[in-house]
Amino acid sequence: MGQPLFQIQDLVRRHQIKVFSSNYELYGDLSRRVMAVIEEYVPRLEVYSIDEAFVDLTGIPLDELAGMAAKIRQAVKQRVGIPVSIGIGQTKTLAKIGNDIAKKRVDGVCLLNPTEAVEVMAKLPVEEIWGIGAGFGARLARLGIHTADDLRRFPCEAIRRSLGVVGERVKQELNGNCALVWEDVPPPKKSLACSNSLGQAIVHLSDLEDVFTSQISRAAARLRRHSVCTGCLTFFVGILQNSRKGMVYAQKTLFLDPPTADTPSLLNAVLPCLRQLFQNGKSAPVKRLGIIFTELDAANQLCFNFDQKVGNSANRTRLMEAVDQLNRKFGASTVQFGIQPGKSSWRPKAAYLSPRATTRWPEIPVVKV
Amino acid sequence: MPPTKVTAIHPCARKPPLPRPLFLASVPAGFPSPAEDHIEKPLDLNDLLIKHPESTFYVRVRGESMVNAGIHDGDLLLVDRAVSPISGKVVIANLDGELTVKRIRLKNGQVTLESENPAFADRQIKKHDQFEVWGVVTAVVHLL
Repeated sequence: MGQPLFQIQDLVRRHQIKVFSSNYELYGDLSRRVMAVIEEYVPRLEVYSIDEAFVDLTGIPLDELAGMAAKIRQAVKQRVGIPVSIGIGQTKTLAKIGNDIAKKRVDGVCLLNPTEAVEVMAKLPVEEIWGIGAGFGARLARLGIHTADDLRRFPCEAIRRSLGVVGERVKQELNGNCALVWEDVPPPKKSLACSNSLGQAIVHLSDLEDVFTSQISRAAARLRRHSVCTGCLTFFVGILQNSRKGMVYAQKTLFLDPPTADTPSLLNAVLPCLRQLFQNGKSAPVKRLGIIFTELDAANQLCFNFDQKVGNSANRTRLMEAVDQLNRKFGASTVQFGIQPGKSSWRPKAAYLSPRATTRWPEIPVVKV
Repeated sequence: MPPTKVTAIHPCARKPPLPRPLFLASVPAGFPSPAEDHIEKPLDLNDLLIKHPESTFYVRVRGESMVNAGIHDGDLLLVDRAVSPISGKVVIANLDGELTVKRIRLKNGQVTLESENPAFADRQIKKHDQFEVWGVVTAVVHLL
């Protein structure tokens, strides 16, 4: 799927390939603008990811749909400079199929009416449907279902037995019956994870602690931003045994009582465990590591038993608010917890970062006059 | 020990409901400020300068060719892609792969990029030129 840059340096030189590091700050800002433009034209918008959104066109006359799509496309290209492709269907799943077709069309729009949808589905491999994947695909193949149309026509009962309610929803959607919920307000998160794959394996415990400290700080900041606390923390490491055996994972789960989003408390829970797991300050080569927060509860709705410790003190909450404010104002790493400064050999290199031209004053374009 | 006996059963006295008003706002005591009904948010430059936030971008300027339009070296320009680049507007143009600031003029089908400084020549756009308007300059910020 991808190749590390250092393996193709020769190609880069020979063909003068332009290289860019991922620039999520820039993408995030442009995404926000794209969604803002689309929202002006439609009754209801649901942002699905940084570069995808669903639009509810219920109530718009059928013969106006194509024109509306063209207008939206033109408006986004004109006002933000980003090309978008638009797929229109009776359900989200069908719209996504339409979008895959639209991507390859010059005019960037595909309107799938029910008849056309069936024709397309007859040639679409079932694992390419949104919500089905290679795993479900294999299960379906055993039932003789190979194309999207096969799934569409297959009896509900049998699908529910094999793929559960998720599979049944997909079948409904393929038949033009909306079975997926419209998320005007994103549902509360059930878990929050942060993980890193490392280019260079870590062997020193102190480096391991640095990475976990960084992950926990970032993830805890996200918890606070969503006003939730976590009651359960799982951390894991992936150790490369040898190239044949592949990655071996070790994990540990800690319950946090009371639930918290306080970075120092989370660090105090995890770091001693790490030291226990890795004796003598050394560890086996760690290639992947991460943390997962679960049992998320709204910070202002926590229930305590009478004998349970009450949550974070007001002082501590104020401390975390101050830290978050400073990091928002002056940059994400302004205030850090216990990380050794400068030792960031594990951080992804942003050596080829394009300018963050819409979010940082020093990086806006300079134009000759 | 003698068993407990039920001696009498009385019906629960049905009392009529007695609603109490709930004050949702606190009632401040003291003399009301005459300014209270006129409280507006403070003046914000964003409201003045930015008509279309999603299509507004910032650009820094280097050079002297637009001084007579009030654009000086080092100034900050607000560029709005949602504004139509009609004749007479100051625009950011992409000319042969380079961004520049000029006043666009359309006359008799000929597009010209005009400088606002007698020391700089105008530039007529020819058929083979790689030319595109990136956006319209709507404001200049000049810090003294």
